[in-house]
Amino acid sequence: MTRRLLLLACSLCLLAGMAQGVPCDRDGDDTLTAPELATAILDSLDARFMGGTVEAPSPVDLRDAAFIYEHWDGRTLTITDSSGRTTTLSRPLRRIALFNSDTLEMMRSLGLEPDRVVGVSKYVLEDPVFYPEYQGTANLGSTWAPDYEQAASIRPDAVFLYATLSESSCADIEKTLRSIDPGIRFFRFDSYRPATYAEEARTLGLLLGKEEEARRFLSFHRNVTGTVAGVVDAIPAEDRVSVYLESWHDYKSAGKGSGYDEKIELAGGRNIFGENPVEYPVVDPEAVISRNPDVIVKIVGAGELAFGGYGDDDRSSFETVCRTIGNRPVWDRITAVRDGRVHIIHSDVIGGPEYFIGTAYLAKWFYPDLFTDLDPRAVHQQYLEEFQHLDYDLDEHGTFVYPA
Amino acid sequence: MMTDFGREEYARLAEKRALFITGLILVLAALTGIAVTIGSAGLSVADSYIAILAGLFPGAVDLPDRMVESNAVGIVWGWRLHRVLFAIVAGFGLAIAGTVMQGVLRNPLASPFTLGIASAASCGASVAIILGAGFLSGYLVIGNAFLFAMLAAGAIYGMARLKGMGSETMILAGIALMYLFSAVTSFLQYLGTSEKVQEVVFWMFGSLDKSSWPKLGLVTVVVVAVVPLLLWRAWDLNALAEGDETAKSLGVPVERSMAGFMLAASLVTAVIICFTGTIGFIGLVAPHITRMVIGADHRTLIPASGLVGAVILLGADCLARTVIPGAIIPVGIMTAFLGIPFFVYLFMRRRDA
Repeated sequence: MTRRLLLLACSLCLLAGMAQGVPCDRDGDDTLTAPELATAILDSLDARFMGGTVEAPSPVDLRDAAFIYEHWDGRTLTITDSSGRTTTLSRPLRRIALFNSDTLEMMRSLGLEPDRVVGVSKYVLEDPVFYPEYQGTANLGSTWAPDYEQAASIRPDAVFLYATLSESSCADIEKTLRSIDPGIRFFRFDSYRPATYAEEARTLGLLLGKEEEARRFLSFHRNVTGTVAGVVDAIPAEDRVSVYLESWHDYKSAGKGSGYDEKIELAGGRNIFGENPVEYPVVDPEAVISRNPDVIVKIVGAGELAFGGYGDDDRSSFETVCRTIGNRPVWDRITAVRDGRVHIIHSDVIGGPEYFIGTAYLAKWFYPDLFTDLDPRAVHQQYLEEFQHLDYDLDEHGTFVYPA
Repeated sequence: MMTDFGREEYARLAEKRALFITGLILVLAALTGIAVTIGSAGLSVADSYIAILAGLFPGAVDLPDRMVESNAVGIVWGWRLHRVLFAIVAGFGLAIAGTVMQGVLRNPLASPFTLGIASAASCGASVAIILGAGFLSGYLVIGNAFLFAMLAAGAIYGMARLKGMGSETMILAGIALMYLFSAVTSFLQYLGTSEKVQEVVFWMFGSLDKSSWPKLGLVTVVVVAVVPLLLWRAWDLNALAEGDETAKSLGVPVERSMAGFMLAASLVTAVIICFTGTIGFIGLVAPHITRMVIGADHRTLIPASGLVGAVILLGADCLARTVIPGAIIPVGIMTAFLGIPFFVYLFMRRRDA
């Protein structure tokens, strides 16, 4: 029975996809007015309960029409994604497939109903603690090794890919999937870049019919980023703390224009390798010693240091990493090590959609006296409860920063 | 008496060759039949074939609802079929290219890898992926991979043609080129972000994921154009295999035909690996396997090793798509897993004999 219903829904979606224009728009002017929607609802009620003979809209049409009237002012929606591509929609998205797990997280912040998602990347399925509700969803593989058959057989109406990450792979995925099913629409969002984060959340809010949720989420986000920016913008360049950032590979730092460099900047720090033209250069330990940073930030969560995060409650590993840095030869002369300002942070809260939580941590570490009121941990907890809708207590679970 | 004996031997050999080639064609056909039914969409065998028919005769086949629901026709025609055919053509092309290279250079180690062509293609792809620079906008990776591969081939061709370089020197030059291009690739990886590096690594694994009908068409045209040429000149290859002096005394213009063969083989290799990434291993193994079975006469060796290459690549791709459900292991890796043990086994057996 459910199979037949699904089939019906699918074929209707297919028909709807072919028929351009807003459903239940009787006069065909691409605007669904209140009287048009009212007529459609009445016709449908008439047909269902009163034995009316007027040709009534299908349940799917009616549902979509109500959505469009409610969220898009009864008109088609034209949006521009982060790759600059413009798409016009005359139907809401009901079967969403995402290769981009960061966009899934952002959509969850906007209150997306999980049953609108039909396929996710393998990274989502590998993270049952953070994505419990998606564990039974179809596995699309990764952007580098996509499972095209799976992606096509779940019949998505929209596929989400990264906008500026692994561009050539994403372009290939788009080309191949389009040749299998020309009806699929493609959207490119990053959902982890500070520069486009707010704009993307707004656009996605509109696209998903979650404008109000988007506004609420963005005000929460702006509250954090604005607080940090308001304080650090007033700090003159010469008074800024110098920061050495190291990724999970020893001595692999962040150069000019890299994501981590940007976040140090946002938190008011001065990256000691910020002028290095290589995005993620491997630096000479001597250079770190001679540049003598005030603060050292080490990122864990991948490579040899793949621990911590949501699924790891053992906090001792962070402590070990911190101690190892202090024990590097001659590093005890570095101001940061001498002053005990070596901090460990997990990539989950600095590299992805939760970057603003990590930025808040960085700001507090850089200028503890200026941010006495800022509580990054509380921000994190609020994000998880209120926006990610997760029953997750940071006091009991997870390892994200050291010293905590 | 002696001549009669030789004739009998030859007749037996010819029979063996015919048997081998027929066998290969049958195996290839069977594999193709299986390959189109394999995939993570979980279409049944019957549905896969109905989908093929439905695509061939649009409107004539009444599709069951379940197939409309799962987009079976789209999946089979938009994805599986061209991938399967691409595996056949690519395996065929890479194997004959390897056969020709080994024949011309009289060296069992000659292959797109040892001549630097594969690493040049990787280098070109890295330039496109990491620096975003290239010659063919819209097709940066493919264009760069092809151009760099042809650049390496051209360098070897030039050295052979202008300096009259011998086969050993050519292989040395090829290996030197390989190290040079690998160093450039490594340097680019050093510069790149981890995502881009991963993209390069995945490209270098070699995979059929990027196949499509237009690409299949292009590769087929090149392979179909080159193979008859090679078969036509197969006697020259046989003569060259006996040594430069022998070839010369038989009237083969040694330098010119060597260079010509190298160019043809490189072109085929470059056209294939620019789409797939480096699956160069087939070019090394297929000719050896074939030579062990049917001998070194290039008139039959070329088509037969082409078939062996097609069987290996298609077989490897079938396994690559099924070993881990829902994931596709890059076929370049699978070919090595599959081909090398078999290759070693053949060698060991021959030693014993």
